[in-house]
Amino acid sequence: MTNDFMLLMPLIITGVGAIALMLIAAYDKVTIEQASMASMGVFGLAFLVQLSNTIGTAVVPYDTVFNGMLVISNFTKVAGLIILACGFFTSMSAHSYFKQNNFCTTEFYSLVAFSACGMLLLTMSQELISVFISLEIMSLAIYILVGYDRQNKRAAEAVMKYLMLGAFAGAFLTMGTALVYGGVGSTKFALIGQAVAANGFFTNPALVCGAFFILVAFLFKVAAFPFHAWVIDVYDGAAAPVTGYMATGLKTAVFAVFANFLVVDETMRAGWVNYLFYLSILTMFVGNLIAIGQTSLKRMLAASGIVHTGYLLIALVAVSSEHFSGSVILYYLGAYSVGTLGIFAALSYLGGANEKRQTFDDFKGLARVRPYSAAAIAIFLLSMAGIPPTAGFMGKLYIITSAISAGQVALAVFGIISSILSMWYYLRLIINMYFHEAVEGFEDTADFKFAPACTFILVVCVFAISLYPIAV
Amino acid sequence: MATELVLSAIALIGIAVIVPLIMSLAKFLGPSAGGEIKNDPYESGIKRMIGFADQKFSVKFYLLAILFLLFDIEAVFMYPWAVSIRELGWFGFTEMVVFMVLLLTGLIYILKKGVLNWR
Repeated sequence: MTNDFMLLMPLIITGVGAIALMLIAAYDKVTIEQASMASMGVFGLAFLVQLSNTIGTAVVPYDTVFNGMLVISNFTKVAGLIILACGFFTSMSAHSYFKQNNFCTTEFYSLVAFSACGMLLLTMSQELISVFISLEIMSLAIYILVGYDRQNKRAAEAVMKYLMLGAFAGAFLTMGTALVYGGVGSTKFALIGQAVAANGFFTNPALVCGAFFILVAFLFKVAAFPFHAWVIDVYDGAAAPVTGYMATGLKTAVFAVFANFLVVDETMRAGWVNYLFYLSILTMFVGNLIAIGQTSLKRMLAASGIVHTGYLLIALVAVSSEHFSGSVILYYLGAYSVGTLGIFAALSYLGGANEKRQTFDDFKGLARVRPYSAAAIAIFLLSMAGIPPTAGFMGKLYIITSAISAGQVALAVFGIISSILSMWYYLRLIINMYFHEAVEGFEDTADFKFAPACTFILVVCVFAISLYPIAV
Repeated sequence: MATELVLSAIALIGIAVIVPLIMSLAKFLGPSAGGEIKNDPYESGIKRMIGFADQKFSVKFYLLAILFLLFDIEAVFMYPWAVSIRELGWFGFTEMVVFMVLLLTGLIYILKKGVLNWR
């Protein structure tokens, strides 16, 4: 019992922190800057506790909590670490963002913490009802964050699209849960796996249909190919720190539960891997095609997020159910999160008031005026494109290696081709920053401390993560 | 047994007589003011029921309804807990206290934000 609470301590800290921030907001006593510091403190504390859990209790690599409603393993712990780090850096870059954009209230940070709660729960969920509840905790907070600027028409459009489609995906998830429960008689992943092992997967129509619906919901949440269309407008309409948070924390959480659900049983996984094979190829190439045509930086990053979903789907195809460690998926998620968070932290302070700098052309000659910021952005872009010696390169290397060792050579080849295609739009920004004369002075971006510090830490992380070896 | 039957028969007759009596008395004795507004169909906060749907309407009723739902659910959760309170013991009590404190913080928040002020 006490062990349960110790393992859940990061979740409890973020939850209590979120409620405390909410009450602070009600009494209206602190400034927005102080609230951002408090939020960073909550995330930092939770991160340290999670870190001590991850390192300290390595002897218990797998543990069920609350009678099997949640499961704690090394996989969920590291996913939790990534999510808490995302929350920390989002609060940090939001501090600078809201000095130029004044639609912030203290509740913003409370909502970031609430959605982190949902994400942490989602990584640990091993039971379909918990999955639904945690997905809703996460999504409801994210919906509000997307539409936080109430005077902005594009934010309103984004939140409308996201809310409608997200509610639809939630309906798919509940319907799938009901069908799986009807077919198997349990909502626990372990018991579903046993039932599939005993009676087969395709012999049970309710189970097949239910699993299909659940996959639709997950594919929507990670923005994979047939359900990718919402991403561009939603990422574009949301505030820069929120977009970074959605692109990293949310994706980490959903991919964690996606992987947990897929490795329920070998026959079930084998049934879906054929479809995931085509879906990952289509996701990568559709994402690339969309990204090449964009002129706005945030829209390009949204489309490149689709491409990275494609790479992660390759990793999902390549995981094997017998010895699932998920290290490749987590490594790539970590590398991708660092790069994406870094770029959005840079956009948070370089964007100017009301995010006036949006297109590639707006950042022409940045390297002449702000050489360090430009260098940081270039490093993040190179990491996302997969150039050594960055974390993104090692992540892609591990994914391609695991795909080849799983016998999916075609998938590995497509992954490499897509990676080469993605150079087009990543290098375009670097060319704009370095090989053009400055058209303006970027004077308004001079006096910020938090977001630049955030980019600096993340640049260090890009190289630090690339030095961390994992076993494929 | 027999007394219960008699009692329930009396109650039945009482209802059958008194309810129509009161309703017809209200019709004769009460003031009856008609009018356009009074005869309109009523829907919380929505002023025009007929016509285009793209009108502004007050969100006050919606807020109240959703808060009612919230605390209604709290009460619903307390019934099964109350039934099995002896089996659950202190563990169940703590769980319930945590649940109610969470909702209480929500109540404090909405009170401080002035959601319940009927403006």
